[in-house]
Amino acid sequence: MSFFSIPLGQYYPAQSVIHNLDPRFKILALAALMLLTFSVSAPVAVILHTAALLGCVTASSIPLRVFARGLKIFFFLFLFTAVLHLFFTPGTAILRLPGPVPLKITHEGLVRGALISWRLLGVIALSFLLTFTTTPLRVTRGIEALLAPLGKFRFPVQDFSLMMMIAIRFIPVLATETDRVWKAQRSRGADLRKGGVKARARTLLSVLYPVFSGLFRRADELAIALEARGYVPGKPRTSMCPLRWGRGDGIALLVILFWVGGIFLAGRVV
Amino acid sequence: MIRKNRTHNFVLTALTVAFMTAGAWIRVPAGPVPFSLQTLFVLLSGITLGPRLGAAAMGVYLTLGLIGLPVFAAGGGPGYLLSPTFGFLLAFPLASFVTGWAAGPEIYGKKITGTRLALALFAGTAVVYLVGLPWLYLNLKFVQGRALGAGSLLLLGFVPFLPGDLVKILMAFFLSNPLRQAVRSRRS
Repeated sequence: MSFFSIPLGQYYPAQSVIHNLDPRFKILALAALMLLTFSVSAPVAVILHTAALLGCVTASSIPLRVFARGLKIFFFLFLFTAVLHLFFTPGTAILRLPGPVPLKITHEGLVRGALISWRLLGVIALSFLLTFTTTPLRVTRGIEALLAPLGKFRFPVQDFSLMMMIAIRFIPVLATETDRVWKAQRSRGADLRKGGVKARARTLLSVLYPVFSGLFRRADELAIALEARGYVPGKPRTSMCPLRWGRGDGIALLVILFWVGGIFLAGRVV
Repeated sequence: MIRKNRTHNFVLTALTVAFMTAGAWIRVPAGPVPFSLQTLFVLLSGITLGPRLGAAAMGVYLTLGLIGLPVFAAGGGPGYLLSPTFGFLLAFPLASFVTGWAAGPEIYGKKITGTRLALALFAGTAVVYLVGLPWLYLNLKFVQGRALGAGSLLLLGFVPFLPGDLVKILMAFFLSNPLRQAVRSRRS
């Protein structure tokens, strides 16, 4: 079990200004900028906002192809958006398609579809700026810090964040274990493609059983190990690498305020 | 799953989430749409962990996906919030809670009766749609700027998933009692 087997999710290791920012700040900034992206519609504001976003993408020193690869999973969202707006917006037709069902592309649909697609693209790019530059463990720490006020309402914030960290840490371990059990059962003739629903359910059970019992054993051991090291549920814990609000975060906060204010004004004035 | 030990409870919940994401690669070939075990886990988590821990497990699962771990059908990341189908994921904690609550507390040596189990599983599945469909509507209305009628909404977000869900309910039906027994036999 090495440290490096902790899954990194979408994290892209690099040295950049954005990588070094405090995760708490990044989460809040992400939320603010996402809302901003959805309220922008004036052309000047769109151009300025796009420029600022591209600036951030450059500052993150993450290659554009990584962003492009990430966008692939949203292909259907964009396809869906395009079809929904291009063909189903009433207005002046600019292109009529022949066929059994008469389809027409309207001017209004084109404009509306372009704006919505741009907003989606902007928000997805923003979300990548968080997940590409921050490891899941650091995001979890950020979420824990931001949710801390909920502790007043008896929401177990620390338990929740510890659960996330344990889950992240154990994904590779349990993946290996599941794989091993599945192979063992296959070598004994288990086949999920054969038999009726009942037979398949039984096959599935023959995999789930051993993995689950391993899971319970592991949970026992881990709970004992935690308590043996002095973990007391609900008591405040210290951290190995505490989050620090640095000078960079202060500057970034000013940049964001300026950004949001500027776009807001650009949308109003023009 | 009622344990006195709080540490043990949340460790077990966390490991269940890890297994849920790790076990996603087991795909059961069934018809044209291959289905993963993930939605089956929503029902089973409520039944084996109980309503509260089941809901907690699904909450952890959702958060893991939103912070960028590739645990959802097409990966993860905060961008998922924009997906018209995110509501179905958002429903997981509530669905797990309802399933666990309807299945009732564990009574030593007793199986859940068939009727009760079926009701719990259908209730859990219903919750997924009760949250997922309004989300789909609101997403289309506010993100895409287009309101859909009830008919096309059902055609888009309900009918295609119905057969898969019925099979999942059936599988959960067969898996529930044996799994609860397995959980119990591990208890010291």
